[in-house]
Amino acid sequence: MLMRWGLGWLRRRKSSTQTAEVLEAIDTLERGGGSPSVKAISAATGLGSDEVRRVLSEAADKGLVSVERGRLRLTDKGRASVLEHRTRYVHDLVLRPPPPLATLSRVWEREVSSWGDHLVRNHGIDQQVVQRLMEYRGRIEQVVPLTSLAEGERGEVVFVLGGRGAVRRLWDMGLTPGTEVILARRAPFMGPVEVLVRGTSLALGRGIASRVFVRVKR
Amino acid sequence: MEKAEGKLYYSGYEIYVVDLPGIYSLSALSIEELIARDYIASEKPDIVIDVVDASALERNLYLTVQLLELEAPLLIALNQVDFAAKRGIRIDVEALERELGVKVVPTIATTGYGVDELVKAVVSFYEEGKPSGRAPRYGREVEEAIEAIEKELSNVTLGELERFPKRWIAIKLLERDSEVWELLSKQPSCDAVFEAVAKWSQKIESMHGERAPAIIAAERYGFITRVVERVQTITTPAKPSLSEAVDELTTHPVAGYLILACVVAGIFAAVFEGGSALSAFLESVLSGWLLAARQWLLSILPAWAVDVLIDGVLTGFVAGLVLVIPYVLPFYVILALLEDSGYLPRAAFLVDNLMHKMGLHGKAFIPLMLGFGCNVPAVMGCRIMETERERFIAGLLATFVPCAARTVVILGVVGRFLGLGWALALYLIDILVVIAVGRLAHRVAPGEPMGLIMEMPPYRKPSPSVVLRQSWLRTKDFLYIALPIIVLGSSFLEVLKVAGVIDQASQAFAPAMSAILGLPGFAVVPLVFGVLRKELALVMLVEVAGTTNLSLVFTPSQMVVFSLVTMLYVPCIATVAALFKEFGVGKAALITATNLLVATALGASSFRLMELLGFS
Repeated sequence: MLMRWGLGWLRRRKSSTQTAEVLEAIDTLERGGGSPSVKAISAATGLGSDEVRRVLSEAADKGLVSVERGRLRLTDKGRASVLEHRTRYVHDLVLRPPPPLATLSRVWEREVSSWGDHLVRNHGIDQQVVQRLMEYRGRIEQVVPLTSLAEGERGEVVFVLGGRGAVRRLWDMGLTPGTEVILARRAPFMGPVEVLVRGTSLALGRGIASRVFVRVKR
Repeated sequence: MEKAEGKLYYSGYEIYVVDLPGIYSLSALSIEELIARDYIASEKPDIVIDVVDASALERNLYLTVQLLELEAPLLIALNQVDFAAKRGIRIDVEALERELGVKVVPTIATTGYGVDELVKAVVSFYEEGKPSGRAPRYGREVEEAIEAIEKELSNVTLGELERFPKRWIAIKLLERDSEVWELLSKQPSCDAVFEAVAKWSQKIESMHGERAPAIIAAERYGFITRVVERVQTITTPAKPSLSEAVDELTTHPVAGYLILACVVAGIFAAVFEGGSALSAFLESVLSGWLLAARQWLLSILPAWAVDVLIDGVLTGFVAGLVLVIPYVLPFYVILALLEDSGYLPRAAFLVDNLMHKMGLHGKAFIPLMLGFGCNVPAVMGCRIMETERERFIAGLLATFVPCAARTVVILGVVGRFLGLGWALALYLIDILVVIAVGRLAHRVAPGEPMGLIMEMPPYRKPSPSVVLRQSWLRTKDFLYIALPIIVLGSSFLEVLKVAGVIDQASQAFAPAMSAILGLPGFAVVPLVFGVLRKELALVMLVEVAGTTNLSLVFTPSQMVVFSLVTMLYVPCIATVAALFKEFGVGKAALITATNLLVATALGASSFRLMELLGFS
């Protein structure tokens, strides 16, 4: 019984990630002015075309996508779901409370109607940053905190969350949006990380570094 | 806050030189930045020399660009060209001059190379007038915004902002610079300016999808990157350098901490082992001289005047020297060696996490280490913390760090009569106090907590001249601030003693002392004198007890309590003066009160605890 429930949960979870990926791909393609064909979506997500078709038909049933004159489009509901996915992703990544509280907060989080508003209102994240996050072109899962880069991995700064002073200092030190950084090393015990940026080496405390979001470059 | 100043004579000119604090930017983020930009704008120096590190050109030009925006008459000293060359970085000086429209002189400060050319350039700069430096043009939207805001600015009175260029004010407004913002809002009828700023910020943000300050920083760096691409060539050295190997080792998760522990233990062993021998030697020589001086003075002056002069003025001076020469100076030489070689930032990197437990970050490691020498330079050293909040917490914690003088008391009382284990235990308690106070301050202190953002310079061979200069600067803090106050204070106390005030006070406080801390009444006098210099507590204790064998007058528990209280009760008078200078009356008083409170609480509770445990 438990096994079946567990498997079902896993499958649902998997399909919901796939839906999110496909919807994001459509969003990116639409913004880029391209036409979101099955082939293009498949290329962007790495899913097989059959898989994409299946996800699309499910999404169409839920009213997330529509086909008008042979052209695939995100519905308003679909677009809203992409934005929710992105803001929720960032929320869960950086701002989720520690394990025992997280379970509790799950219950409470059902009340959250918009993760963007939640970030602004409850976490003091700048509206502008949330805006930028929502308008981000591409898969949000490729945007990770600097701290989750592996040693030697490259990333491109997408945005910086945090208090005014710290953000200002980071910009002054050259961590402006679009800058390429390399994670040189991380100190043990959740200590700071060392990054190479603009020809010099910077040590950033774990707290600050986990709020610098980068797109992984491979 | 002070700037180092000096005079220079060259080809008939008297050149007045001011050294401004080292900074990365001209944002209003730290006091250093505010000082630098206020100085340049209000004193209007004839020439501003921007010392640019050739091995980190891109980062360093960020300040250069902002100085150009401030319309400072700029001259660039392209420093450390040798070190840059060693790392395969070559910079085309003429191209850099062309790009920025500023005279550039390559220098190597440690060997003096290029300094002559620099002074020559200063003189010819002064004689020929200013070459026009080229501040970057921003993107179209930003330029339009700057122009519009400048226009609004010309319609209002600027008050204190008058000394800054309008274009610079406009840029700072778009950057949401807190100080410029505040100064402007004090002016009447400047609503139109703020409206323009809001409107254009909005416009820039909707065009770029990012906040205006970020766009401005990014465009500045964009300009710099283009300049650097044109003037700099990098050839990677063939073999991995020694610097990288050392870097790898000293930040290694296991070896790094081992090395750090060895370095810290080594410093203390060297300084206090070597120091105590040297100190004893100096003491014996100087006290001989003092005795001779007393004999001679007694023949020409009345006895009370001799007491004040010898016991107050001269003894204070001698005691200061006996502390500085064997303990403080060697400590700072070692620290400067570590700093100049690039080790300290690695240590800060490793202990950042630990420092977070005290509500600070890795950089605070440096002032706290300074505190083991003397608290005065430690309090001054807190300037490296960026925010007022971090600076205050670091200053507060620095006063709890056992300085050389307190170590002398701990070793001289507990260490000598109860054993080294007890002395170490007291040290441990002190460190726990630092952590506890830090955690508390972290919760209570207002403001946004700031994490570590620190440049990690590559390792290099320390330069003797830099090390000596740095050690001297820190020791100077002690000599110029602490020593005069110590001499004055000890003369004053000696006058009080001669007048009999001390005895009365001691009798008045004695009951309270024995009730709260369980100490005999005569311990009041050493504690009063300890305010002057902590090690004086030991000297006076021996004097009032009438014996050097303290075990005759103190029970072991009283020794522990006495040392504990001496260690913590107030920062010495020189440290209070430094606190006052750095933080103002209110915060200096707050820090002193915290010390007193912690010492009383800890002294009283350890007295009760030891009584309960039957340890006497």
